[in-house]
Amino acid sequence: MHVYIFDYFLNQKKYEKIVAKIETRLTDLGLNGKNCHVGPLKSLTSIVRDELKNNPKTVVAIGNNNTLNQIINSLESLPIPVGIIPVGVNNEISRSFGIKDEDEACNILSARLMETIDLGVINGQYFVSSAEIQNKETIIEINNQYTIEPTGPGKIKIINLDIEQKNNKSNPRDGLLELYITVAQGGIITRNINKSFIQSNNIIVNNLIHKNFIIDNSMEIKTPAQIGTAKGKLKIIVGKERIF
Amino acid sequence: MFKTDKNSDFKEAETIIGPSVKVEGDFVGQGNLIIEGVVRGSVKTDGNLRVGDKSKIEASVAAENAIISGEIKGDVNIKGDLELTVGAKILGDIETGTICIARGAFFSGKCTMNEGIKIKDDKKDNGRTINGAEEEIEA
Repeated sequence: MHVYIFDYFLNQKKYEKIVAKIETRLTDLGLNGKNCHVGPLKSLTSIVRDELKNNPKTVVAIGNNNTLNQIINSLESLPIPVGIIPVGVNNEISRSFGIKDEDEACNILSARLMETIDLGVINGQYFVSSAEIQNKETIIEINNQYTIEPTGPGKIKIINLDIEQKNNKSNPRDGLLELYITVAQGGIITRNINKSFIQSNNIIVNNLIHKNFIIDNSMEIKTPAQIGTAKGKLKIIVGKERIF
Repeated sequence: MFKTDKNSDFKEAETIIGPSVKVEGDFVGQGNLIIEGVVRGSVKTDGNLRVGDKSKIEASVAAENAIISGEIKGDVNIKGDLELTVGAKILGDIETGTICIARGAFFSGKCTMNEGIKIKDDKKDNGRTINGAEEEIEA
């Protein structure tokens, strides 16, 4: 049985037609399953955990990056395939899986092309694409061997799946994370961006002014943060246009 | 030996330490490494190493091949080719297979050549081959 998790924001009136269209399309494709709508009295996590007792064939996230992130963190390490039907904005992760919109997503679910990829883990929380934090007052420890300290303002980005496709070294199946440190130097006119790049699967990040990490462009995680990979943790249904 | 074919290896750099970061500790890499920033401790890679002209390294350095344009305070151990370009400054001992020092580079320390050096003279019959010899240059 398939379980379809409709995120809370889809209860808004403007998404009514899209939700009805998705339900109809899934029925037409013979992909019937249980439709679960997240509401004010039932969280996404509790719905997923209840449905796991029925051994579903697939859990499908209907929503955005945040919906997917919550679902993979609710699966309790079970190897259940996950599908995505993107709705609304903030859907870069589904696009990197080759899924552009809800129509295409239903066809991709029907074709059921599956890939196994790594997940990033930050303080026990999984992420699919990346974790980001500011440089200011941040110290990074790599493999318990050396520390890196940026000397100017900028951004630290730790990538598992490169949804922006700026880095050809990124591979969500190599068991490694890519650490990018960008530091801006100079004035407005002579602004220069210096970049550092390191691959590792054991990173500790401490921010002395207690800024938080943002994972998958959707969720905040407190520092200090221990970051690594969970190799082959996610079975995901993908389209042919995926980036990996 | 130190021409563009070596430089092309750095296009595939596995690790880049940019000019605006400080690294402290034992840096161990497995591929090509580019250092443009400040490093204290030790640097070891089984790939090629390039040290940029603005970088400052206070560490012992070990790599397969290296092109040095910045400053290193510490011993340098290179299995293959070592090139010191204009502006390079090394305060420490060097152990390398082959070495190329450009005019304007600064080196203070002991240099040990590890690999055999072949000297051939085709014109005369006094051609000689020295294999496994160690040649030391006191700078």
